[in-house]
Amino acid sequence: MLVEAIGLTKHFGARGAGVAAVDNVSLAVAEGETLALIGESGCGKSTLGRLLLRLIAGDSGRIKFDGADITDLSQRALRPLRQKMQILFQHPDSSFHPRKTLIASLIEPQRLHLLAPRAAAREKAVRLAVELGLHADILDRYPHQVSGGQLQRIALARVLTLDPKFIVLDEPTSMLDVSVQAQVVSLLRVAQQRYGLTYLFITHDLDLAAAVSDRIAVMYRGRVLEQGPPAKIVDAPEHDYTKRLVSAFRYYLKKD
Amino acid sequence: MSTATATDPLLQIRGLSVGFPTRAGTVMAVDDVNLSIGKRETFGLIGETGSGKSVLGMAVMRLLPNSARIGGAIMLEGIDILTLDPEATRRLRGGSIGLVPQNPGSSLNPVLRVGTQIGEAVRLHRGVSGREAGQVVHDLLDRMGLPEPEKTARQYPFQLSGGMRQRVLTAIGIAGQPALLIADEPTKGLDAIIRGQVIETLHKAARETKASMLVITHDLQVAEQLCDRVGVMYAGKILEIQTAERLFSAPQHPYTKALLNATPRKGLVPLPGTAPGLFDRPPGCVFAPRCGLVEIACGEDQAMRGMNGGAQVRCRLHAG
Ligand SMILES: Nc1ncnc2c1ncn2[C@@H]1O[C@H](COP(=O)(O)OP(=O)(O)O)[C@@H](O)[C@H]1O
Ligand SMILES: Nc1ncnc2c1ncn2[C@@H]1O[C@H](COP(=O)(O)OP(=O)(O)O)[C@@H](O)[C@H]1O
Ligand SMILES: [Mg+2]
Ligand SMILES: [Mg+2]
Repeated sequence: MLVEAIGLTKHFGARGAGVAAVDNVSLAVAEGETLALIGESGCGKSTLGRLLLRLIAGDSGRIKFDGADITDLSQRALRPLRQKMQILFQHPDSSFHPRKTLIASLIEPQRLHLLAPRAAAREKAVRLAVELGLHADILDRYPHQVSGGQLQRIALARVLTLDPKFIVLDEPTSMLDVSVQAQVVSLLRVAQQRYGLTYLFITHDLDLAAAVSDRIAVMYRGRVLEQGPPAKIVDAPEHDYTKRLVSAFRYYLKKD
Repeated sequence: MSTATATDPLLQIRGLSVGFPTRAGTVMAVDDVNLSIGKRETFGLIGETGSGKSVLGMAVMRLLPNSARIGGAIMLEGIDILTLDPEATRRLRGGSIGLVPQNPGSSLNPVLRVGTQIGEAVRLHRGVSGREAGQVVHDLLDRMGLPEPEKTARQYPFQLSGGMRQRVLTAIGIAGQPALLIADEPTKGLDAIIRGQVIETLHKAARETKASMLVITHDLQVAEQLCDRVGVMYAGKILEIQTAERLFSAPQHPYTKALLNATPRKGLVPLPGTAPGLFDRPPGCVFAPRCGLVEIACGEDQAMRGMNGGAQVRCRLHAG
C-alpha cells in the first residue's frame, strides 16, 4: 500500500462538541491505483484528503506513506515527502496568484523545493504543459485570461513538475463542462500511466467515480461506509445510504 | 409527445437573435433560434457554459438589459411578447410566465417566513389577499408535496432542508398560475439525492398546473429524465431538437453525439478543442472546427432541417 489511514479522526472546534468531520476512517490506496471517494457535500471528503497529506493534523489515528508512519513527523522531516504527495483542487484559480503569469506560477514549486535552477525548472514546466495539450504561448498569460479547463490542466502540469507519487484530486472536474471534464480525465489517465501515479479521486458524482476508479469508498457523515470495486458498489450496495445514492443516479422519473 | 415539433404550441420563438454591443463589435449570444413549446410540454435546453441558454431564457422573460439588440419574435399564446410595454411586461413575469430561481440557498429571503414570501407572489399575480391568499399558499405547498403545509408556511428558510426549500421556490414559480414555467439550472451545485427530488418537484409542478415548462440545464440527466423534447445549443445556435428519448438514444448532430460520448456513462471520450468564444465564431457551421466529419460544405451556414423520425438537425450531413 502506498497510502494508509488507520482509524483517522478529526473534529473541528472544541473536541466533543458536535460530530467529527472525519470519524474513525481506515482505508488504503495501493500503488498505481485510483481510489474514488464519494459522498454528499460536507461529509468529510476534503478533510480526509487533507489529513492523508498531513496538510491538517488529526485528533487520532495513524497515516502511513510508502511503508513509513508519517503521523508524527515534524514539518521539517515532512519536507522531502511533501513533494511526493500533492493535491489538485476543484477551483484551480484559488491556487494561482492573479497577478503572476502562469509560467511564473508553474515554476514556483520546483524553486521552493530547491529542485532545479530557473532555466531547467522552466524547461520542465513547459514540457509538461505541452504534454497536457497546452500551447506554450498561453503560459505568458494571467490566470483570468484562460478558461477553467485550461487552468486545471496548468494546475496538473504544476503538480507534475514535482514528480509526485500520490495525488489527491479534490473534485478536479466539478466546475467544468462535460466535454472539458472528459479532456481533463483523459489527461489524468495519461499522466497516471506515464508517471506511475496513485490517485485519491474525490467526487460527488457516482457515474464519474465508477468510470475513473479501480475502487470506490463511500463516505457518509465522516465515516467510510463501504469500499469495493465500482461494479460491486453500483450493483450490490450494502448500506442504505449507498443504495439511495445509487438509485439517485439510476433513477428514472416515470413520465405520465 | 412523440414528434419533434410541438403540435399545439404555447410558445413560438422565431428567428430570435440577441446581440450585445461591445467595443469590438456586436457579439451574438443567441443567433437565429427557432423553436416551439407545446401546451403542457416540458422542453429542455442543453449545452455547455456560454452557449447562450440563459440569454435565451432571459429573452423569453424580457429580462435582458436595455443594451441588448434583439431580433425575431417570441409568440406566447399568439402575442409577440417582445412588443409588450413595460407594464404588460411586468405582469407577464410571475403571471403568464413563472420563474423557478436557480439557487434554493440564496433565492429566498432569510428573515421572512416562507408563507409570507409565497403569499406576496399570490397577492401580486392572483389579486387575492388575506385569508384567501393564505389558503392558496397552503394549497400550493400541499401540491408541491410538503407534508405539513400550515407548519411549513410558518417556518423560515433556514429551518427547511435543501429539497424543501426547492419546493418552496417552485411554489413561488407557480403562484401566478403561469402558462409557462421557466427553470434555469434548477439542479446546479446540488447533490444527487436532492437533485432527484428537484426533478420530481418540477415534474409535479408542471403536472399540477398543466403548465408548459422550459428547463435550461447543463445537466444532461435532468434533461433526459424531466423533458419531453430537448434542444441542443452551441455557440448561440440550436444544432438539434428531438424528443428526449430519441436525442439520448439516437443523437443526430455530430456535436450532440460528441457531447453524449463525453459523459462518464459513455466512457468520457474527450471532444477535441474548445468551444468558440463570442469573438471567434467561425463562419458557416459553428461546430465545424471541432467536427470529425467536416467538408467544404460546412463553410456555409446550414438551416435547421426536419428529418424522417422527427428530429430537426442543423448539419449538412442531413441536407436534403
Ligand atoms: N477548517 C474548518 N473549520 C471548521 N469546520 C470545517 C473546516 N473544514 C471543514 N469543516 C467541516 O467539516 C465537515 C466536512 O467538510 P469537508 O471535508 O469540506 O466535506 P466535503 O469535502 O465532503 O464537502 C463539514 O461539516 C465542514 O463544515
Ligand atoms: N449582458 C451581457 N453583455 C454581454 N455579454 C453577455 C451578457 N449576458 C451574457 N453575455 C454573453 O453571452 C454568452 C451566452 O451567455 P449565457 O446565455 O449566460 O450562457 P449559458 O447560460 O449557456 O452558460 C456568453 O458568452 C456571455 O458572456
Ligand atoms: Mg470538499
Ligand atoms: Mg446559464
